[in-house]
Amino acid sequence: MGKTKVFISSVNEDGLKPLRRTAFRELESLGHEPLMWEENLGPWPSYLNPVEKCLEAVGESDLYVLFIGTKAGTYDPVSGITVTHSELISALDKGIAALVWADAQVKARFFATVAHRLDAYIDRSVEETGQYPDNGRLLDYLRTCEEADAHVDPYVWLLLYDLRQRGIYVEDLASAVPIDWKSYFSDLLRRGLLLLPLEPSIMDNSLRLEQAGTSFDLMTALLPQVRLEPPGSWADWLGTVSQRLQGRQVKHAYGSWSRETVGHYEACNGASLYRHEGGELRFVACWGQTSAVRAFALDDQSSYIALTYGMGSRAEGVYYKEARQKFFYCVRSGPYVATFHFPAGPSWSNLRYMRYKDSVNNAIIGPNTQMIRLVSLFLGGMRQ
Amino acid sequence: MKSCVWVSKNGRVSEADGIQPRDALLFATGTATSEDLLLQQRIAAEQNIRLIRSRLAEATRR
Repeated sequence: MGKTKVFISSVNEDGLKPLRRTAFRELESLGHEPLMWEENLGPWPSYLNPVEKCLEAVGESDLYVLFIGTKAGTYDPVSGITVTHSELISALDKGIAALVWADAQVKARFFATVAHRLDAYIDRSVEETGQYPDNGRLLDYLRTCEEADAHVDPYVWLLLYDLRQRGIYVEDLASAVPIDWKSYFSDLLRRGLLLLPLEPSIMDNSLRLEQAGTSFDLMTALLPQVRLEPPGSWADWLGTVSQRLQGRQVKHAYGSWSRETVGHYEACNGASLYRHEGGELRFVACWGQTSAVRAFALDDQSSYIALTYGMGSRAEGVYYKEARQKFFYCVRSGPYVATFHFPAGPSWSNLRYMRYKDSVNNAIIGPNTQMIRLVSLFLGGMRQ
Repeated sequence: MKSCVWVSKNGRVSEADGIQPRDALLFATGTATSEDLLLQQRIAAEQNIRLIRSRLAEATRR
């Protein structure tokens, strides 16, 4: 029967050594297989990179346990993170469950003040430079931050900040209070037992997802081979599509893990369709809250319809107009340009759009990729 | 490709730089297309399915 491999991680800090040793013994006595540098990992021959070997061991473990004290350990200026942090990232990246403890006083100070100072500093930096500050800059800031206790390595605050951003709960580590491993493992067992009986449903769902993907692929392969009659009512056709385009939050990603909600857009409330005919883009139909313009000249650079048409036969794009407080998603397919209108949330302005253009684009297009593909194929397949 | 913001104002399109009037039309080029995002989503879904299946196989192995 397989044993649970538990990787015990922390910096090589004197104050944490007894805790690590005790944890190792207790986990072993409970029948698990703890992995720890001082006990059963390394030392390796000099030609092997010990960091890589540690990361390998993390990847082979079932549970990652991290103790955070006041020391940060070895910092790699090239990657901008410490070895301990890279172990944590590696574990989470591989989908390994993590249990994290931090010195109770350090944790309390972090959540009471340092986290808010970092939030404010990061907001300010993003506002001023348009970019998320890298770890080097954050560390420089922490060295000058009065609330960040001098006896705590600045990187410890960054590690805690990352844990908070990822939504990982950090337990209190108090020297006089031993860790109740039995309770933690009982809870993990309970959570695992909730999921294990769902295996047939999960497998069934994954099969259905694959089948849906295969059906979609078949449809997208077949549609270009047929010619379709235009619908009886283009307005109804636009409404059928538009009513499926929901409003969503716009999230901006900083690196792989940190995400911030920077605004939202509401459900599509208007759509229009234009067709290239007689050297201009002629109105075909509209739906919802939008007004019809009879036609646009092909070179009309003030029209998102003409601009999209001019970008190529399969062009698409998201436009923003502060005066109308709307995003317009436009897609061209052959002679047609379809536009879908989304009211922008109150936080949006020209400057904000310019800063978060990629996130707006992904938030509007991302959840609707399959629908957009179908719309494009249907329009492209219409009999002329 | 790095994305770039363009502005349409007074009937002309130019690269957007600095404060723009409220009635300007803004758009970006070089952003991900629906094809790009669809491909990313398909790859991510396939990876997720593989991970879930391998985990379940391991979790239910006797």
